[in-house]
Amino acid sequence: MTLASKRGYTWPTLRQALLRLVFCAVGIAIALAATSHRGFGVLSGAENAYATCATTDYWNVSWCIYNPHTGVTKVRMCCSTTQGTYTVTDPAGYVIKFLHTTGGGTWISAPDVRSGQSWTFYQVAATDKLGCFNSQDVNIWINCRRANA
Amino acid sequence: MLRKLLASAAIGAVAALSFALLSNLFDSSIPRGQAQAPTVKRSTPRPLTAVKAPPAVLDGLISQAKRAEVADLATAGTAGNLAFGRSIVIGRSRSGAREAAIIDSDGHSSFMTPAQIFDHSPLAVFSSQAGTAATVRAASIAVFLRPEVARVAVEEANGSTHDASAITWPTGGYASFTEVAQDPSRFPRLVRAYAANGALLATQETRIGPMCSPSEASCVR
Repeated sequence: MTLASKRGYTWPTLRQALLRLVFCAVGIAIALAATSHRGFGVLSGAENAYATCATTDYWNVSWCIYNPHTGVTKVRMCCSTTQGTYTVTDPAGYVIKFLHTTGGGTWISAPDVRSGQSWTFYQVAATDKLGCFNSQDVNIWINCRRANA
Repeated sequence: MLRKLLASAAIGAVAALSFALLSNLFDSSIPRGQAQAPTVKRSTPRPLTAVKAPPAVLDGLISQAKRAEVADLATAGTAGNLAFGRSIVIGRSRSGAREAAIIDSDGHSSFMTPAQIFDHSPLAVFSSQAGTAATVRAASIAVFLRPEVARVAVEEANGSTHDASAITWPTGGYASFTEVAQDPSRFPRLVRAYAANGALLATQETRIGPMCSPSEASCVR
């Protein structure tokens, strides 16, 4: 006699509980994967992750919560002088800025964009940087990417 | 004959007087602030060559338009110069819908549909600026208006306000314009959209200004 049957649990009941556990674990894993690779602002109320902005192969500038009036830039991708920049932000519909700066930090342009939009920069010097900037007064989750165009 | 002529003249004079009185009556029933609401100055789109952008940027936009199958490109707003300019190019997708892109001196946006441009508001303002994170050397705005907007006013950093002149798109009733300023006192600060009766429809801040907070000298990593 097994422990489960001693406590009055039947096999179908246990199987149902196990299945629920598996579904729950898979759901959490999918949510975590979505957040880390193509994430959206599911952590909009969380503490600032400015110091720990991460990158992935796709979101190669950063993906993290940007504090108000902060930005992250990376030197242009090798080797085209035409660079595309693309962003996804949290679903609140905020406008953020793309940044095109010199290596020394001078802002060449900082156009407003909405989530999901792209911008193409031309004549980007090898030392120029591209990235995203939160020009709003609230924390915003921003996934930012630049690539040869 | 003379009596008939005099009677006709008298009737005409009475009718003109009545019209003038009624007009005055209707005018005075509109609140004072709304009575003098001029409609926005409108013009028609210009050729693509009117865009203030270097050839590389313009050629890139044309290539993107071809890839996105956007045709009939025209300029619906242009300001500034080749060093710091901002323009709006409109086109027509395969389905016939209007799309627009913003063009700066160093790049351009993707083509956007009106649904992507307007976020539940008859007014959409997209700004850009150059300088550093702490100082602004030049600023620009690209403004899009839904058909219900009859007049648009731009408030500058110095507090003065001017009416903007918009370009009406060929279809859909949308309009757009761009502005560029190099003098900090003239940087656009607020854009207000008004209906034909003078009612304020929407206000949007341009959010142009130093981007780093004073406590954080370098806010860009």
